[in-house]
Amino acid sequence: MKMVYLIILLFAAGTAIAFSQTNSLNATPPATTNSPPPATKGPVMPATQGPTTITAAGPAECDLNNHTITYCDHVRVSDTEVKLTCEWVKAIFPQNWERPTNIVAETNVIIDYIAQNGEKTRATGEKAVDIYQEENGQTNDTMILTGNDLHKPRVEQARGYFTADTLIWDRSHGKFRTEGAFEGVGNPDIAPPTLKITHAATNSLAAKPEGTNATAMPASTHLP
Amino acid sequence: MTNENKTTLRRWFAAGWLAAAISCLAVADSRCQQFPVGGSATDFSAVQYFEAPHPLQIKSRLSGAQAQPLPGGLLLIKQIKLETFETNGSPQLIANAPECIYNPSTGVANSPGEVHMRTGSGQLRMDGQGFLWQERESFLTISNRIQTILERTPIKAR
Repeated sequence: MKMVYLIILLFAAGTAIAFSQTNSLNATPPATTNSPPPATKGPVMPATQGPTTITAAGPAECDLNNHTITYCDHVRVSDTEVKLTCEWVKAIFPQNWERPTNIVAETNVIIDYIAQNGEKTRATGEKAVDIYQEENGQTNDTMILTGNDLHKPRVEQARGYFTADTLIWDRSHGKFRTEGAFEGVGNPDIAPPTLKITHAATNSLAAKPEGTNATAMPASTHLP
Repeated sequence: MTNENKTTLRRWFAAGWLAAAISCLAVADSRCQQFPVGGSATDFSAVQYFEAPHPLQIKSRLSGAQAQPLPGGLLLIKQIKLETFETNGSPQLIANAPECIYNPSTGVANSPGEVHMRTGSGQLRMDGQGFLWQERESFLTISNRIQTILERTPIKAR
């Protein structure tokens, strides 16, 4: 269910990569960066309509003592905007069995999102975790997409892609960041006009391997 | 049919009913050692209670419109309803299925048929094909063709 928001985030992050190339006016061909972006403001969450559907070949195991449901084999989570497929999903519910506090998707995680303009975004990884907590009237909602040495989490659009060891989205505060080795390729010419970059300075703390065509990532981006 | 044949037939019927009744009593007796089994062949109910400190609270209830003894101490339950509860009495899960085979001595029920489940809040509904209910572990496994619908807002349980 919450994967919807992850993909929106990843979409914006992918867009940010593309825009980051605007520092180089001659960056007509796709450019590569190895500089991880600092915390980036996340996208506006869409108001998802309708319920979320989870299908699986099965089995599904409901552990009523521990308030969990585990889905196995060809799991598909979908709503009006996003389709997530993987091989295993575990949803951890609170005592009242309402909104899951944790959703863990594992093994060949593929998240497909189609924007209203028809643009497709695909995020892949080995594990996606959504953590939702309410404490003292405040909501904390974080999504984490990870992979492994062979299959790093990756966000891909027609205009480019990026990978990192970990992709983290703090949904409650609208912040997005990556951890670990980062690599991105994008083409600024096809970046959507709706994304406004307020800070496009190079992250000076990020190491740039010599001899690469590294360019700056945006310090933060704002959606209208 | 001669009178002698009729008498023989009646004896066989009587013997059959007696065997069935003894079987039911034996099953009920064995269950009573763990949790009570109430009702008749047309009103089956098996209830499990929480352990201390909530020994009076119902943990799960498997009920059916009809119960039929099977060999090996098993019961064929029709039009079943499985309910589980939290320690505060609030409904946790409600599942329905056309029938299942229930083992009173192990507390395990299973069926290859369809099953429909929903949580007490009504926010989650799940359908599937085939299930295994292990009441002692409070573990419900739905075997195949799982479809779950998660509503975004709570729905009052029906």
